[in-house]
Amino acid sequence: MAKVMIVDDAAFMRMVIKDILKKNGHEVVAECVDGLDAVQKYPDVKPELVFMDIVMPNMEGIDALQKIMEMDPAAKVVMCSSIGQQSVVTDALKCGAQDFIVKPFDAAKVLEVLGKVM
Amino acid sequence: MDMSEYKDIFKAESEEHLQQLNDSLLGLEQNPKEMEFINTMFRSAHTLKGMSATMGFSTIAELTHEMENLMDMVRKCQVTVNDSLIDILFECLDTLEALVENVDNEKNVNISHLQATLTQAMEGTLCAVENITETASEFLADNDHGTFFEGNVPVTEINVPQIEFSADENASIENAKQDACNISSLKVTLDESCVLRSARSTLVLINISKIGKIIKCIPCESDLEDEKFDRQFTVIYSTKESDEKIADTIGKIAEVKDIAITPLYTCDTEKSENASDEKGTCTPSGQNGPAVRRSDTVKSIQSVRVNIERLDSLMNLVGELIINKIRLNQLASDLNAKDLDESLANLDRLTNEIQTEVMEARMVPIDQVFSRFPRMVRDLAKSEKKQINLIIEGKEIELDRTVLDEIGDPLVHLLRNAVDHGIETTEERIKLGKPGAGFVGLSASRQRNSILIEVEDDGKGMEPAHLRDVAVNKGIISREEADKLSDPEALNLIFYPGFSGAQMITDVSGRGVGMDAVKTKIEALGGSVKVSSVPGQGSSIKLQLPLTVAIIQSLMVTVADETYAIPLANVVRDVGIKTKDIKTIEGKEVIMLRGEVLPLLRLHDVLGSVQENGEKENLIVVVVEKMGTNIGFVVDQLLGQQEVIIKTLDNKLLKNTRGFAGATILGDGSVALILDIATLI
Repeated sequence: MAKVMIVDDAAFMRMVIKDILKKNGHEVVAECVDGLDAVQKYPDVKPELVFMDIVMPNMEGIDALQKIMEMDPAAKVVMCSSIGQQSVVTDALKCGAQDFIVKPFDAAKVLEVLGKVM
Repeated sequence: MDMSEYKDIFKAESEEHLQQLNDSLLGLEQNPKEMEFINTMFRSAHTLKGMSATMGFSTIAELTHEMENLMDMVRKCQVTVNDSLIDILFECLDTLEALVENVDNEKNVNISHLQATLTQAMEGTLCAVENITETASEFLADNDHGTFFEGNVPVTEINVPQIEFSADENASIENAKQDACNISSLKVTLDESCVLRSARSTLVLINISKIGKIIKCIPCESDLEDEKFDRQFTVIYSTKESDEKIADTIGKIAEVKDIAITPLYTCDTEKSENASDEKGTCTPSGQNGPAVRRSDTVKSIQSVRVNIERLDSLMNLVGELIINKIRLNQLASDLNAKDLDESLANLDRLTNEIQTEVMEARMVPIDQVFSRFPRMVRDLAKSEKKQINLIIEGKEIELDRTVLDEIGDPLVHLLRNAVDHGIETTEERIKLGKPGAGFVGLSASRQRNSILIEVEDDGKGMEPAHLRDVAVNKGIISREEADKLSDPEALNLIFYPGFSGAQMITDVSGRGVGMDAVKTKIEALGGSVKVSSVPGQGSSIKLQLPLTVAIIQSLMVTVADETYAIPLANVVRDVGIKTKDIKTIEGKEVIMLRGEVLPLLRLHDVLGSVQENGEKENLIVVVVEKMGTNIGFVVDQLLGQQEVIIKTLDNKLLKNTRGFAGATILGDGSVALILDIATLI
C-alpha cells in the first residue's frame, strides 16, 4: 500500500486515478488542482508517490516537479503525460521524475508503474 | 476498465472546459496577441484530449488533439490569429459541444472537414505541419510503427561486432578497460503498448547511467529522443556491476519487455562481483528512500457536488421544521413556562440559521447563465453586420438555482431585442454622431431582498407614439385608450400578448417568445419587469427577481373561513368598496376606481366556496395585476403580509391543478393554498 498524492487540474482525471489506486488498496492522501497546490501541500502530506499532470494552470507539472525535488531529493514523482509531449517528459525525467504514464492509461499501466517505482 | 461511471463527471467537467475555451476565444478575437487566452485555450484543449481519450471517446480526442496542436503553433507564433482562424475555432467548439452533449454517439460523427480546415490553418509552416500530421496519425490510427519508420532506422537486427565507434567512443572503451569494467551490449525491447517510446528510452538511459557509463546508443541519443526507432534500441555500456544487476535495474522500469545482454569485453570476474556487492546499495533496486513520516494533516476537499434535488428536499425539511417550531411556540405561550420559552428562543435562532444556510447553499453565481451571452451576442452582431460591445457586470452575484434556470430564456430574448431592434447599423450610428460600435450592457446587482438584472443598450430606443400606433393597428387597444396612455404607460404596451409581431420579426428575434412571455415568466418567479427608454438614446429593461423561489412574500386573505396566500408580486393594492357602488357591464360586475373601470371577481365563485348568507355593506377588494390589466378580487378578510414557504403540488394527483402555485402550512398547522393568478383567471 502506498500513500499517493494526485496532481491534476481535471477533477475527472483525479477521480479516475484515485479509483484505480483505491480499488487496489492504495491510499490517496491528497489531491491537488495545480502545481502550486502540489508544492504547497507536499511538505505537509509527505506522500510516498506523486502522480503529476504536466499541463496545468498556475504552475506547470515540470516546475512543480523541480520545486518538489528541491524540497525532497528522494521524492518519487510519476509524470502523467499525454501523447505529443515526449520532450517535456524527457525533460521531467532528467529533472528527477521517477517514471511516467501516458493518457489514456488503464489500471494495469498505473499499477505497473506504481509497483516498479515503489 | 468500465468507464461508464465516470461519464457524468466527464461531461460536467468537459462543459466547464468548453465554456472556458469559448470565453478565451472571445477574448482572443478582441485581443489576438494576448498570450493568456492562447495558453488557456491550449491547456483546456489538452486537458479535454486527455480526458476524452481516457473515456475512449476518440472523435473528441482527435478534434481536441488538432486544436491543441493549432494552439501550440499559435503560442509559438508559427500561426497568426486572424478572423478565419477564430471562425474555425468557434466551429470546432460548436462541434465539440455537440459531441460532448451526445457523447454515446460521438464515434459516428464525421469531423474530417473540420480536420481539413484545421490543417489548412496550420499550413504555411511546413515543417511544423509535417510534425503534427505525424503525431496525429500515430495517435489516431494506431499505425504499425514498424513500417512507419522503415528505411530510416536500422535497428532490427544489429550485428554488434560490426558497430563502428568514433574516436571519442573508442577512448571511452579504453578507459573502461583500464578501470576494470565489463563492456556489454544491452538490447532493450519496449512493450507493444508503450506510447512515449522516446521518454521510455530516456528513463532507461538515466537509470543505467547511475550504475555505469553509456558509451554509445544505437540509434544515437538524439534519434532516440526524436523517437526515430521502433521498439528496440541498443546501448553499448560499461559497468563494474554484474549482468544480473543491470537486468534488475532495467527490469525495474515499466514498459520494458525484454533486455538482452551480450558481453563484448569481460575483465576479471571476481573483482567485478566484489565491486557489485560493495556498491549494491547505490543502485536503484537497493534504494529504499528515506522513511516517509505519516502525516496527520491531510487536507480535506473543500467542496462537493450536490444534486439540486437534495437541496430541494433539505429546504422542504427546513420548512417543516419551521412550521413545527411555530406550533411549539403557540403551545408554549399557552403553558406559560419560562424554561420552555428560553429553549424555544434558542430553537428559533437555530432554525433561522439553518434556513439561511440552506438558502445560501442553493445559491449559484449568475455567471453560469451570463457566460454564454458573449458568444451569442458576438454571433448575432456578426450575422447582422453590427459592431457591439457587450459589457457584463456583476456576474459574481448569486441567486437561487431555480430562479437561475428560469431566467436564461427571458435574458436571451432581451439581449436579442437589444442587438436586433435596439442597436443601429454602424453606418447609421456614425451618421447620428454615435460611436460606431453599439453598447449593450448586462448587469446584475443585489438589492436588499432581491436581485436586479438590467439589460440596456444605446440604440434607437422606443418611440411612445410609434408603440401606440402599433398597438392600435394590431387591435390590442382602441385609439381612444391609446391616446389616454402616458408615455411611460405606452412603453408598457410591448408587454401585451401579440404586440411583438409581424412588423418586428427578423430571423433572429421577435419569433416565438415575445415580451409578454418574458413578463409572464419573470412574474411567475415572483419578480417584476420595468421598461424605460429615451428615443434616440437607447432602452433599458430592469428585471427584479426574488433571491429564492422557495419562500415568497404573500398577502394572506380568508374566503369562506379558508386562508389563501396571494403572492405579493401580483398585488397592486387593496381597497375597501361599498356594495352599492358595484355596477354591471355585460353581466359582469365592475367598479369605478380612480376613474378606471375595475372588473371584479368574487373569490367565492372562482374557488367554488359557499357564499355566506346576506350581502355585506362593505367589501374588501385586493387588486391584482395580470398581463397589464388590473382585476379586483373580493375577499372576506385581510390577514396581512407574511413570508410563506412554498410546498409544490407536484405529486401525481395534483400536478395538473390550475390556479394554485402550491400550498403552505401555517403556524397553527392548517394548510393554505397559494393562488397562481396567471392560471386562476
